[in-house]
Amino acid sequence: MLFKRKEFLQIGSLATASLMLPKFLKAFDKKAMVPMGNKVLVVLQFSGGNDGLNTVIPIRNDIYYSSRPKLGIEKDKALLLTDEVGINPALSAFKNLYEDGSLGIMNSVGYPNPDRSHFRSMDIWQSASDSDKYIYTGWLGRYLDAQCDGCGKPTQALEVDDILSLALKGEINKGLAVKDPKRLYNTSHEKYFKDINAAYEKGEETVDYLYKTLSETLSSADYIFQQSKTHSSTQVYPATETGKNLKTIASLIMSDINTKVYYLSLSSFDTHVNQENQQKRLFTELNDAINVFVKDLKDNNRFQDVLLLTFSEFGRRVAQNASGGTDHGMANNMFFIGGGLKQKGLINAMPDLSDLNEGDLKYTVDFKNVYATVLNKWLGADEKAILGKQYELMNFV
Amino acid sequence: MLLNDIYTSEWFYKDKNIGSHIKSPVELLVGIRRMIPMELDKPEAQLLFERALGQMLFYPPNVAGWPGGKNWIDSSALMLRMKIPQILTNTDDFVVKPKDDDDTMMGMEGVDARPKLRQLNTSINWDAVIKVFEKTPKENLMERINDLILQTKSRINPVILDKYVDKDSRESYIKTTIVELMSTPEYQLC
Repeated sequence: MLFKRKEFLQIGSLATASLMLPKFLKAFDKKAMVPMGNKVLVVLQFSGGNDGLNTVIPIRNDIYYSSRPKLGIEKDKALLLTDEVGINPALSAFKNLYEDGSLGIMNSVGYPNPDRSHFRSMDIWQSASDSDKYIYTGWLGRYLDAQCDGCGKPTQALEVDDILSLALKGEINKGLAVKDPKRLYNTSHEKYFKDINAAYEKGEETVDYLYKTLSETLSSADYIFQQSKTHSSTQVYPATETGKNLKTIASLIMSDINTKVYYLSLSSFDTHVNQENQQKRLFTELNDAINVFVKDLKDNNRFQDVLLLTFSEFGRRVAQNASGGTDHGMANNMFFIGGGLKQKGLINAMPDLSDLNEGDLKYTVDFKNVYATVLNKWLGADEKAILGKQYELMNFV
Repeated sequence: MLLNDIYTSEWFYKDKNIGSHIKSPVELLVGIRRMIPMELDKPEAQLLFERALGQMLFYPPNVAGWPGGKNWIDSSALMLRMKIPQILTNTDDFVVKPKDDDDTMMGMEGVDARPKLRQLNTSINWDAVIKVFEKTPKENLMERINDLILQTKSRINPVILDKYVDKDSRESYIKTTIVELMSTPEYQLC
């Protein structure tokens, strides 16, 4: 193939990716780049309903200990944050972050008329819908729609997984699920896919749509893989799933990829039985991975640009059950981790255990206020258009 | 009555209505398995595909059902859909891990049938497939298969297809043409 000098320069670093785009799509490529140094959001989902009360522990609350005679974490085992509050013993890195001023804890987050089904409640959190409405797009997908009109690549929001969550599906734009940049690259390097893609000529509307998705996938796979190679981390991440996922994210945060949102999840928090060991196992995996992740970001001067938030579809009931576990509850806490927090430590009051809703924690903060704050203040997006309503902004970032 | 009206109406067969509907995962899988009669050594793999693609039969996300249409398609779903014909015909591994379903697992790992399968072994009745094309002369074979598999106006360029099909024998030519044609964006439509 022959290029004129000027054309060659125009195509520049995207040459490999754009060579295989069908002609009618090439125009999309130009707008994809976002300036460096931009703020990044990492959303970490605890799937299954994490028990918030054994995560951030009210160590001087008699109701807590009387509701959980076996499961309650004793004061001298918890890692103390204040005179009243301790954190789960498996979360030592979180205690360090707390002392460092890089951890925010938002208590009693939930939504009106909560649903106890995992699937439905997760749907509500991911779509940011009211609990009596069904929405088929996710809050971050709609962020892409608002932010990324006509972007050539779906790399603005990446989920480190094999399958894309509802949260990242918008009406027009969808994020991209990539478990392992190298594997995606190999899959998309199947020559046959490239050949049929390159030969396609614009035609029927739905066929165009499918080929557009295919082109975007093939060029993104190249782009993500190239970017993921540019930064080789000097940190040793734990060989766990979360460790690997955070390593992938860190390497991309350190590159100049245009990704604004990363999404990952840690599952098996549904601790109906034998909660203590299960939560300890998951928290150890989480703790060790976060510890290295933060160190990595700090060493590379990126920590102040990163906000990591955690959530779960619901919390668990205040009282323990008869199988050494807890059952589905309502409100829960969220963690914020980052070097750019404006409110640190315990942002609001601990849940009031003397004022419950049928044995469950009442919510005092609607999660949509948290989303609105992140969208507006961290990602600089039009949160009202994305959430469909004006929510009062908070002050944690 | 209603069905009679639909199936005998002219608009039902109009060009613009044919090949414009994105198959749901179940429609896609059923379509493949009707075209290529097969037996899975691990029948539960069918469920795994349904979960990975976002449609478990009899298990809609909510009372409103599956949203359908373009909602089925994102980058990873399209890649997997285009790989499934190869996975089912034993030419590729299945490495996708569906997300956990806590509502059926109830906190017990392993209650949910999650076969850790990589290599799926299917026994395919290719003879039945090849018989369909018994009377088709060799030079018309590719076009005939193209017409049978794809319902869109858009067709895969025969020159490209020709590079990827196995021409060792008539059988392998038919087999590989079918699989390659099913591994296309066009095959996602009906």
